[in-house]
This record gives sequence, C-alpha cells and structure tokens, in this order.
Amino acid sequence: MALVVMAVAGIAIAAYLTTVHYAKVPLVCTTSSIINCARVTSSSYSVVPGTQLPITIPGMLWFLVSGALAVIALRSAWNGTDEPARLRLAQFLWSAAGLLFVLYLVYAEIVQLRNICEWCTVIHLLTLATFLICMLRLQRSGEEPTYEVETRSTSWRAPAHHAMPARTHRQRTRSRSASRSGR
Amino acid sequence: MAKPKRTQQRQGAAGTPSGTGQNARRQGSDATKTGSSGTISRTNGHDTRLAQIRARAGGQPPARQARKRGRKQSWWQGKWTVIATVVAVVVLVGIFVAISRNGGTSGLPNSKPAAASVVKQVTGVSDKVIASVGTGGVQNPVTPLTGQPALTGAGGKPAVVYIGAEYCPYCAAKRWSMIMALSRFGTFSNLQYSWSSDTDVYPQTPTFTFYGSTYTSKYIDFQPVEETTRDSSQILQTPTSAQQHLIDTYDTPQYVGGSTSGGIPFVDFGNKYLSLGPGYDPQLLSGLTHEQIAAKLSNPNDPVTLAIVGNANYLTATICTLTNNQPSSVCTSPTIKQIEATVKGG
Repeated sequence: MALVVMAVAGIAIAAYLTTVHYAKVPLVCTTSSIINCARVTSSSYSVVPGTQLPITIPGMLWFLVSGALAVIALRSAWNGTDEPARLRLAQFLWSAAGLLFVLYLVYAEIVQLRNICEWCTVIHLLTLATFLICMLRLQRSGEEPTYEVETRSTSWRAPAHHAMPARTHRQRTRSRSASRSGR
Repeated sequence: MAKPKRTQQRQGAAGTPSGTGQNARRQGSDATKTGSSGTISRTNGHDTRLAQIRARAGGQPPARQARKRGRKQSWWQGKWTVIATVVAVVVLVGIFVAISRNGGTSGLPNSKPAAASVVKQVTGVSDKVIASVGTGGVQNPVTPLTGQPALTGAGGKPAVVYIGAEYCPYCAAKRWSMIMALSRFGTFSNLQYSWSSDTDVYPQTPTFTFYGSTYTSKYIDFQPVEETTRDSSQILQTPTSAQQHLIDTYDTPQYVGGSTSGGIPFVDFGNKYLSLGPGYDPQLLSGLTHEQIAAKLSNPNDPVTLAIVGNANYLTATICTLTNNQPSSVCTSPTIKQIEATVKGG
C-alpha cells in the first residue's frame, strides 16, 4: 500500500514539474543560498541527455511502473492469491535502477550545480523509500519459499501410504510367505 | 517391531534438530507404543508422520517456525542490509557535499588551451544559422551613447573595450557571443578554455578567457581586460587609465541603468554603444562542456544557439555601425541589416 501511495505522490510531483517546464511558469519553491529549484530544473541536467525532453517525464514513467507493480502485489494480497513469480525481484531491480539514477541526479545537484531543488529532493526520498520497501519485500520472499516448500512437502507426505508402499508391500509379502510356510 | 523402529529413526533423522523435531520423535515413539499394543502396520507409520506434521505445523506462523527451526538467513537478509543501504546513501551524499565544499572543483584549472575544432565551431557559425536565428528572441543588449567623443584604438580604428574577469559567470556567457561576433571582423588566436568561479552564481560556466589571446582585425581594435582569475586570487590585468576612465564615466547607472557602478561585463563600442551584462541567461550553459555548447551551435532551434547567436548578431550589427558596414559580406546580410536598424533605433 505504501508503495502505491509513494508512486502516486511521485507521479503528482513529476507531473507538476513537467507542467512547469512546458508552461514556463515559476516553481513554488524556497530560494535560499543552496535551495534553488529554478536553477536545478532549468539546468542541462533537467533534460534527458541529447534531447529537450524534461527528465521529469522518465521520472513519471518510473513511478507509474513502480505503482503498477505495487498494485499487482496489492491485488494478490487482496484476493488471497500468490503474487506472480519474481514480482518482488522485478520490483527490487526496478527500484534499484531508480535509486542509482537518483544518486546521479543528487551528484549533479550538489557537486555540479551546487543547488538543491526541494521538489526533486522529495522525489529522491520517495525513490529511496520505495527501494527500501522493495528490498524488505524481497527479503521476506527469500524466507517464504523454504516454508512453502515444506508446507507443500508436508501436505504431499500426508497421505503417507504413497511414501511407504515398499514397506507395506514387504510386510504383506512377509505375512503371505509366513502363511504359506505355515507359520 | 523392527520395521516401525527403523521408520521412526529415519523420520527422526529427517526432522530438524530443533525442539520441534524432538517433539516429533517423542510423538513418533508414542505412536510406536500404540502400535505395539495394537497393530504394527502402515497406519502406525502414517500416525507417526502425522504426528510429525502436527508438530511441525504447531499452529504457529511461518516466520516463527522458521526462527524456531533456527534456519540460517542469507547474507542479504535481515534489517542490517536496510540500515546499511541508508547509511551508504547518507555517506555518499556526504561525500558529494565534501567535494562541493572543497572547491568542488572538479580540478578545473584557471584555463587550458581550447580545442581548435571547438574554436572553429564558435567562430565559423554558418550564414544559414545566423539568418535562421536572427535575434533569437534575445533582448537588445546594447544602449546607444550620444554626444560622446569617438573611441579609437591602434591605427585610428574604432575601439571595442571589454572589461570583465574570469570568475564572472555573466562574462562567461557574454564571451561566447563576443568571440562569435568579433570573429566576423577579425581573427582570434590562443583562445583558452576557462570556467567561471566555483563559488559564485552559475558556478563553472564554461567559457573562454581573453587573457593571453590575441585578436587581429583591419576593421576594429579590440581591447579586452580580464581583471582576475577564476578564483579571484590573482589580478590578471589592470585597466589602463583610459580604460578606467571609460569605466568610471560610462559604467554607471546614468548610462547603463541599474543601481551600481562598475558592473561587469562592460563593453564600450567606440563610445557609440554600451553593453552591460551577459545578454542572455548563463544558466543555459550550466552543466555543459565547451564541446557540447559548440556542437549545439549548428542547430538553429537549440535554446543555447538562439541565445548565443542571437546575442552575437546584435553585437555584430553594433560593430557594423562602427565600421561603416565593413566588411560588406558581414554587414550587408539582410539579418544583420535588420538588427542594425533596431540597434540604431535604440
């Protein structure tokens, strides 16, 4: 649920920044010595390299995919069914990719531009939180397979005669041969 | 009797060595006793296994069972990885801040030789791009100066005096257009790459420095003055008394507007026109390399090209007013003539 909420928040912020980019209207943002959204969002790092496409659009798509994956997991939980295989791994890898890109953007903000954008920072924190939750989910999924296997094997073993036909057969044979030998 | 016992041992061995497993063995033993008093058959084994299953299930949640069984977690499991991730991110951001505070400098020198290919791209913008850009949406960067004595330089040529500094980000932006415009009237050599200050606004704006360069032209006398280095630690050039007089006289609110005197970049075009400021937003160049900026100059739709070339066209038209529209190959182009009319109109 938290992943869905964060995805929605991320999409909303990215949509706002994209709108501001195209509408060329000022951002609602504090301007102090280090915080200056306009400088960050109008820098060369604010567009996809080699294009004029604002980087907020890929950001929005990232949150969209992240949210979609979270919804799939949520639906499975809601319906009481198993999550699709490797969903958690996909979520983890997706969020890891997002976090790596965020680290690059943070580097650009702090080292190259020496200015920080409040809106961008919120998006960066959402990405980090998404990554941590996905990591926790993956860790839990790492515990569950052992249990599931055991449960399955347990239920498979339950009709124990499947597991012991040889012994039963030998017992039967022994009793038959015993009766034949007259014992 | 022997068979059930062996079965029991096998099951015991299969079970985990935890308390739960011991319970299972105990229950298995009970089942055997039951068997001994009644029937020793597969039913007895079945009960034994069921007892084990019940013991294993125990009605407890899986995680607790896993813990009870004492199963080892993988290296990447556990809360510490989450904590380690957060710590790693914080440390990384701390490193970024440290780099930024220590000059951030990325090791940028005061200047370094410019690549010939880049200089060629800047000084050789095509007529097609010049015509396509026009003013580029840039506001007229020059202010007419009337009733003042003509400013001339070597050989009586009209003088163009530039006052700036390597640390200055506005000068950094202005130089791109100035080099482009002046190259239409002469030739630069020994241009060096430079960057604006690391700590001022628009830090590390890529540019060139006029310091150490030479400019030859048969139309104008260009007199550049770069006052300090990019870290302001050294004085590079001091204006001559004549140049200082220009600064004191014209780089004032009376002539160039604003509220302060002595702002840079300040350019005096033969005492006929003045230009103060970059002419466009230096932010456009932020994060770009010299090579990237130069590469953009062939695209007339790029914002960087619109700004640099548009500003350069204004400066070109201004210089044309000083040279009596010479050379004609530059000054009689429809684009420059049109802009010149705007410049003359103030």
